[in-house]
Order: sequence, then structure tokens, then C-alpha cells
Amino acid sequence: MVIVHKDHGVYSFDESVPFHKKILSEFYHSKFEKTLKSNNIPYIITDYEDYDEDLVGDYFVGRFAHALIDKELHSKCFDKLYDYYGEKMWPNKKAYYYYDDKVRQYELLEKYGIQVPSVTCNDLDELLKNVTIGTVIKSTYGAGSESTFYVWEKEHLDNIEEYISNCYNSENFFPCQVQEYISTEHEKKIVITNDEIYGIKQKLDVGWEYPNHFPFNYGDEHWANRKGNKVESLNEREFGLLDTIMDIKTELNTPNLKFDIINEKVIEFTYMYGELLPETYKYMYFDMNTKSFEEKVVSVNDFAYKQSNSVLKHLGII
Amino acid sequence: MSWHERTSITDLMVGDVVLSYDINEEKIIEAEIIDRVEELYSDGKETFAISTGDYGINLTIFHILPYYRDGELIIDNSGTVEVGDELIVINEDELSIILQKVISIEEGITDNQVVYHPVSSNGYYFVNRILLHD
Repeated sequence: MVIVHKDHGVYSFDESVPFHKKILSEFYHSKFEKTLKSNNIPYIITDYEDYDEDLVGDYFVGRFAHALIDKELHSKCFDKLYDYYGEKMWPNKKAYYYYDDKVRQYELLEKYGIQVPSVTCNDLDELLKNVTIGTVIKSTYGAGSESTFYVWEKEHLDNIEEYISNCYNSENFFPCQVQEYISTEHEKKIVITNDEIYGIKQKLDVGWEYPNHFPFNYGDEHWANRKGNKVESLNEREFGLLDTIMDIKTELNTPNLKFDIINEKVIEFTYMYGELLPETYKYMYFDMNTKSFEEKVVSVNDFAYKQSNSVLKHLGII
Repeated sequence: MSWHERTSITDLMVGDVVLSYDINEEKIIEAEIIDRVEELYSDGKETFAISTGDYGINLTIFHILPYYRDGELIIDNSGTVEVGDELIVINEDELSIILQKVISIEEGITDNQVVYHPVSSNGYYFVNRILLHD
């Protein structure tokens, strides 16, 4: 029996989201349910209130992501769930505790020598001592740059508290990291899933209007509806870090990982992520079984289920 | 079925009624335009000019459409369509459906224009007689 955790409603999106994004961004529990149903595998959909009771089932899969309202709930029950399901659970303990904790990720990345040099600050006083013009400040928590700002001129130094207050987790911003701003044209995103490694590069913005707009000048659009900058599939020569990425996946024993990379240094990684969009016709990927690069026509249906199917395969359910 | 006429997709407004198709019931139906989405895509995205010989349609990589391959219904993005796949085409005079094989696909690139996506009540409508998801 597979226990499928119902996604928190905070991850839903409105009807204005284009259809291809609706397919890709559908609730994880719906995707799990479709695959389990089509394979005649017994499952039940559960929610937080069920975890107060005696736990049941053999496997557990659930989207425990970074939205504050959801995190407050899953942080209270994760340990109990992991004690019961162990490595038959997604996310497992390592993936869960590295997720949404950049300071902790830094320690792991440092071990592999692929970290972006950072100073960790545990409170505002420490931050004010370390922040200088030309630095990027990132809360250890948050995804999608929602808790990041860039200080590029002197007057910004006088308004650090204001920029913190603009972050979604302003009440719980610390610890944070201070990093030198890296001037580069593209950010790479490398995804490892289903024994395949995909890579894209996305053009970065320059000329931000406000420190909190860094690194992308997004407006108030819903995350699922952001236009995004030009994205291209990586070619064979641009991938890099393949062996390290596979080693980290092995160490964390988790089926999927996405790495954000600048100049061959990892900014952060995550065990779950928004699916790669069909931003391009074909994606180059590295096949971990054949150890060779292949090319695949992007299918929205295929990409929509990559993460969830990879989880079920990893756990031996399908 | 009400009286109908052809119009440009960019002229469709909320409340208009269009011919559509019920994929499950396999029948032509009427659907209402319930929203109108304007999107500005990044430059340099692939486009596909898909032709059946009689009819053709220009799609971006993001468009989803239903088609048949070896008799199996597939609903996926335009980049997955291959020559030989069959599109669902309406005969608007007889209000019937025919399947037409794709005979050519030409790749192109977007030029950063705004793309209009009317949204229909059942998710489908015909563009240049070819069934397309909204």
C-alpha cells in the first residue's frame, strides 16, 4: 500500500496559467495517483490530520515544499513519518533536511568543492558587518529567489532591513549567506531524474530596479505563469559536474535533484522542482545507463511525469 | 447547432460561442469562450508550420493538440507531432470530423510577438479547421 500525501492547496494555480503549464505543474498527488491507478497498485490519499493517528502502509510519497504555511505543517510530522517509513519514503531524511536550507547545503557542496564561497550570518548584526557593495544576500530558506537581494550601490547598505522585510520569510530570515555577486550571462540548471541528466541555461537579467528584484525582474506573476528569460538546452560540452552530481545523488539516496549552477559552482540544489518546461524542441541529456549523450524531443506529457515516476521507480513501487 | 461563421482567432471575445469537439464522446459540440490570455513568449522559441496538404496551422512549442498515431489518441505539445500523424479536422459544412495525415512540418522561430489564447469552456476549438487545445 502506498500512502500518497495530498499537496497543500497553496501550490495550486489559477485558470490563467497556460495549458502546458497546467499539465506540468499539476499536483504531485494527482500524478502519483494516475500512475498508481494505471499500474493497479493500491494507494490511499492522506493529509496532515491523518498523521496524528497510527501510521499505515508500506511506502509514503509527498510534496513537502517550502511554502511557509505548508512547511509549518510538514516540519511537525516529518520525523514521525520517517521513523515509520524510513527509506521507503519520499522525501527521505537527507533530501528533506538539505531542502530549503542553503547553509546546510553549503556544507555538503564544500565537501565536493563546488560551493560558491559564502559567509554565513546568524543575525542582523553579523549581516551588517559582512555585507558590502557587490554582495548577494540569501536567506537559508526559500526558493525561486524569494528571499534574495543584491546590494550594488552604497545607499542599499542603509536599507538592508527594508530588503529583508520584503522577503516572504522576513520573520525567519536568518541564518543567511553573503556571497560575492558573480557577473555571468547565464545560469545553468541541471536536473537528474529517471537515470537521465538534463541541462538548460537561462539568460540572466541585468539592470535590476530594486535589490529584491535580483536575479530576475519578475513582476507579481504567479510562479507558474512567469515568462522567464530565454532558455536553451545545454550541449554536450556545457554540462560539466556530471560525476559530482551523480555522487551527490547517491549520497542523498534520492531519485531527483536539480542544481542551479553559475561558473561551475552550485548555488543551491533541491530534491523537488518545477518541471523543465518545453522551452525548446529537443533536450540533450546524459543517459546514466549507456553513459552517453542523447537527444530527445520534448513531450509535455513525458516531462510532467518524470519526477513522480522516478520517485515510484526509486522506491521499487513500479 | 447554431449558425456559425469563420473568424480570426484574435477576434474571439469572452462570451462568443465556437465549434469545438468532445474528445471522449467523439462529437462536435459548441463551446463558449470563457477567457482570453495574452502571452509574450521569450524570443527564439521554435515554431512548427504543420500541414496536411488541405489545411495548415502555425504553432509554437507550447501549443497542445490532439492527434492520432497508429490509431492511438495522443494529446501533447506540437513538437511531438510527426509526419504521418493524423490531425482531427472539421468539415464545417457537414459538421463532421475527418482525420488528415500530416504531410509536412516546417520549423521556425518566434519573433517575440504577443500570442493570443482564447480559452474555451471545454478546452478545445478549431483553428484553420484543425482541432487544437486552448
